[in-house]
Amino acid sequence: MDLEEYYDDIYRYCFFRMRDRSLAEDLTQETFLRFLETSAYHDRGKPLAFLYTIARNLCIDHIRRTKARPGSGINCDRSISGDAVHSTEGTVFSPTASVSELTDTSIVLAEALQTLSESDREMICLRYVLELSPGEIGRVMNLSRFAVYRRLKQALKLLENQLRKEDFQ
Amino acid sequence: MKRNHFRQKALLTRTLRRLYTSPAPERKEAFFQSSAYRSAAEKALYPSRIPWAAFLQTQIHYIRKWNWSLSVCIFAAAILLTLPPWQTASSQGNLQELDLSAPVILSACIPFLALATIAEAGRSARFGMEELELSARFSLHAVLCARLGILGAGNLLLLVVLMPLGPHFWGTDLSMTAACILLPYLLTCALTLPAVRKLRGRDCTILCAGISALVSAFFLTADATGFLDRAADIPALIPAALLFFGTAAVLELRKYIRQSEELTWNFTLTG
Repeated sequence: MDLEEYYDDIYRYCFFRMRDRSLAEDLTQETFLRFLETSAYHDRGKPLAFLYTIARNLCIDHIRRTKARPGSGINCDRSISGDAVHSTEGTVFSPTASVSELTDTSIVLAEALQTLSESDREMICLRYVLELSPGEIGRVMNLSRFAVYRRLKQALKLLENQLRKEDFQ
Repeated sequence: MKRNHFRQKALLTRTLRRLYTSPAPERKEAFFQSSAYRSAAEKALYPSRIPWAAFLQTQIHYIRKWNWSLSVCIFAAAILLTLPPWQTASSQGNLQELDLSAPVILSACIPFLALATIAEAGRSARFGMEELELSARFSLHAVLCARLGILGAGNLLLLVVLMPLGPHFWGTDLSMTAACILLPYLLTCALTLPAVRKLRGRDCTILCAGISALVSAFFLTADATGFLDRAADIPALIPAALLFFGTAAVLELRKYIRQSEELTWNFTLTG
């Protein structure tokens, strides 16, 4: 089993959630060590979903422990989320690219993403950015595959409505 | 319409990927080279090899009890045959004092011991479990070797224990006792192993049982037909027959075990 190939994916997931490069790497490494400690799972198929689950739990634990708002990370001041006005649930899974890199469409989409709930943003990020299958997302987020399909569809619908609204404005 | 939908999805995916960017990890290489990761990975991903003794111990539990019961029954029968009514006073290898002498009865039972061993070896194939066993922690090849080794060692022990009974209780010489005890075993193995190799399922079981029954019947009537007497007249015949059938059984066993390796090779091609 070659675990090294999963490092970047887990790191990106942790970074999108924590928005702190160093912390994301710490959590990624902790994820791998925890994975290796739970020896009962190793020979049961692909480890990716399990790695994501561990990473997700570690991130949640870290946020709970430190009571820190993940939006206070290093990227916040430069990123779209810094400009966003609607975010009421923190900046977990908010877009991380800096404004200068983006086109108009991207900026509109980033602002539309801010209107979604944290778990919807997480789901969209897992599906379209980290390219997990709905089944894998379900295992990571403890949902059924059908629930993932349904919620993704709802989230996309919300995004679409939001983008239409932006167009009219 | 559908095309437009896919175009929109692709655009959404592209835009989202532009929105979600992350700096490259800095400590990746260092982490995978670190002693903390390496020791954890070595412990978890590459568990130490199981010792042979422990492996054999696990396999003993998978051998069905009736295999051992049959060995015990044959041993018990041999002990019963040492009781006075079956003993001969003669010490010259004469088997004609009783219609059915003790070694002949024993030689008629031995083929079923061989049959039980062969049946145990072919159990995976009989129940169509080869694929599953090939993908298990221990390969079918290793499992076959272990089980045949255990059963073979058990049978050998039994046959070695039975060998001195002939000269001591039944008045037959060692060569004749070997003919009555080892020959049926080796003959059954040499004849049934090709069947196990080439046939599957119920056909194989019936054929193997038939072969064992034929060998058993042959040895049961060997005394009456004068085969044993004629064999006793030619001193080299019994050792030659033992050598021939022993070699044949070993060669067949080798082919059978190699066939399980071929299966592994084939599955790796289709995987």
